[in-house]
Amino acid sequence: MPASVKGAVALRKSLRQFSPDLAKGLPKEVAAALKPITKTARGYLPDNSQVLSGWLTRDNSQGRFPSYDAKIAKAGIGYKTTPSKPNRRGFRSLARVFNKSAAGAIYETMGRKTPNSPFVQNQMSKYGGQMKGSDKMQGRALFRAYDENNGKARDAVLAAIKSAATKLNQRSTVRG
Amino acid sequence: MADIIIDIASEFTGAKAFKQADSATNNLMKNVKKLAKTLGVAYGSQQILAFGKASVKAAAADQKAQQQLALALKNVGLGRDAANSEAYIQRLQSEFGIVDDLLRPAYQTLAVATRDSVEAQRLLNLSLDISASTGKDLGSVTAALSKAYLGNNTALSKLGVGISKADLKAKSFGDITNELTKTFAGSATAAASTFQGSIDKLGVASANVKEIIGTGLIDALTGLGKDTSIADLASNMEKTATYLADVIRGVGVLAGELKKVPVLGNLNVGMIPIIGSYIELLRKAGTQTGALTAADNAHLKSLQDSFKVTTKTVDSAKTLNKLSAQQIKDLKLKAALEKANLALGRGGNIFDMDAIQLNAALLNQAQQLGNVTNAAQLLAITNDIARLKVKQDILALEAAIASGDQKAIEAATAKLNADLAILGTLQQQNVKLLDIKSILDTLLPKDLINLQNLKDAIALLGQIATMPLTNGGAGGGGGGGGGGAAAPSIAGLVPATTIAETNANVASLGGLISSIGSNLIETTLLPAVVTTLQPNGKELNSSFAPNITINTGIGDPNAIAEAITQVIQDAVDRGTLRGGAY
Repeated sequence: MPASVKGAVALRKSLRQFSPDLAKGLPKEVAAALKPITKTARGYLPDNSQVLSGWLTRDNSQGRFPSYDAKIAKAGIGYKTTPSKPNRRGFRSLARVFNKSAAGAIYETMGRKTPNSPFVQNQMSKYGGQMKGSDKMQGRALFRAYDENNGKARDAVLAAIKSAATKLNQRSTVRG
Repeated sequence: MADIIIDIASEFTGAKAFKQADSATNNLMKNVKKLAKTLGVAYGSQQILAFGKASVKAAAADQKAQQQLALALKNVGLGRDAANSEAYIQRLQSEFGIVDDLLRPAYQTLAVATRDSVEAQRLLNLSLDISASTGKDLGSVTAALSKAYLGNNTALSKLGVGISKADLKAKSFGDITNELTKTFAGSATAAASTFQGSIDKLGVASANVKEIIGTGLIDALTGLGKDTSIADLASNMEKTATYLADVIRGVGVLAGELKKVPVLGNLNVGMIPIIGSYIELLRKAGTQTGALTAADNAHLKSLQDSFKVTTKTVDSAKTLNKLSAQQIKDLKLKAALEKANLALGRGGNIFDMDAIQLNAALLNQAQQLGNVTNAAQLLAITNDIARLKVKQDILALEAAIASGDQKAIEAATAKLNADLAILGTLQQQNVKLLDIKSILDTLLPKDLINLQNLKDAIALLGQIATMPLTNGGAGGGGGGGGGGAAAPSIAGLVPATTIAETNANVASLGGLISSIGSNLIETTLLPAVVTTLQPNGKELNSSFAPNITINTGIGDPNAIAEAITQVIQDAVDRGTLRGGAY
């Protein structure tokens, strides 16, 4: 469950307008908080030698199932510090980490619904990453890294936003 | 497949749908409020009265519009369709949420143009569709269609309904309208089924409510006249007023006529049977009413008087309060001004440049005292300090005079006199200040030009001009008129013609003789030392024989002597050394 913040988007606009140095500094602080999660998550992804050979990218492949390439999968894990568009429920994400490659996402969540699937069984027998987290936030790479982060990143992001807001307010205070 | 994203922090800004719902709710609230206002939900008497007025006006306007439409239809030969037309308009009104005030003129325009009720209704339906689709007002669309029906397609082309000029020219009106019907089919219905359409329907319903209530009110008013028309009501009211006026006049005439009858001249009307009893009752009632009125008037007058007294008291209290407030305000202002003056005075003290300069000068003199090397310097510095003190005293006295404080003036004067005495002692002078009284007199206002002072000054200048010069001996060459004057004679002194004689005179008077040494330092000479004046005009002490030591390196003495000689010769050649053997 992400932490809900009020006025952060407006804060970023205000920072850009009135305090460009803070506007540049805030994303850097947020990125510094998110980077450990992505770094750890990339480490949890298996190498090409650790996945089923049939899942790897191979010549003349006819299958439509996403093939695994460790390089692509690791590149698919990242973070963003810019506010997203509002989702269907009207929430805008201020900072997020993602695992956007198809193969990476498969490795992340495989077996959550179908633990007895042959693919899952075979892969687990070859290389079985530990699954951590709960419910929909249960996974082997990104979710695991986030779970092990114990909310440090969230606290750091919130602290960075709060700090920027405080600094902006201090600067905008009229001094007699 | 769902993306794997973890939101670390997020903000609820509201979805687009939420905003739409929000604005829709706001619109609904606004319209409902308007409706509530229209229906007088606030139940305020003013609102009810205003609503009543508006309703009567709306009902009257509606009746007028109905009659105008009926007349217009009748004039174009469609009188028999008036009722059907009215029903058609009412149906459109409830179906599309458009008030009849807009529909009637539109229908009338089309009916007058087409002179056919069916065609007019068909075109009005089309107009409603076009209006709903294009956003143009209904009046413009019906006007354009009616003109087009009569052969003028310009207005129709300007509506922007998607028909080219070529089509407008080539096609018949029927074809064009058929095409328009296809193009805009169902627009009005669709618009009416929207939320705004529903609100419009509510608006129409409220307008109808207003008209219905207004009609009821008009009926009630006409019922008062026990007739069916407002004209009759007005007529009846006028008749009633005239009737009452006539009755009053009749009573006056009756009384006058009764007095004319001789027998009845002093007759008590109350004695007349039956009529008299009624009149007597009326008289008693009138008398009682009159007495009551008089008593009431007296009571009212006393109340009015007491009210006046109270009002006056209140007014006086208000005036007093006002004056007190003004006085407090003035006092506050005065206090603020005094405070400001005090601050300014402090500022003046801080930035009194004269005082600062004097203090700096005194400090400087005090520092100079530490560097004194002889008695003359000490005397000079002491003199300067005494002068500065006097200047300080003068400033203090000026300040005291400006302040008008007598004690301060006296104190400052005493200090000035004391310092002047010190200065006088130092300078062997005897300076006295004006008496205190004269200083106090200066406080009094004076004329800008005091003729007496001027005369005194001129007289003093005259005295100075006629004063003989007493020191003409030594400066005989310089003062033209002083050459023949006798020199002063003091016992023991001789007229001096040389420096030695002058020094001797100075020594006999107890003065010190000083001389500037080769080291440019003034030294005090003994009276026995006599200096002489050289041919070049410089004073030379005979006892002064300078010895110059030249430090050189070890070498041939002749070579060193030649080198020194050469240096001196070079100086002579340059013109920087004169006199002597060279």
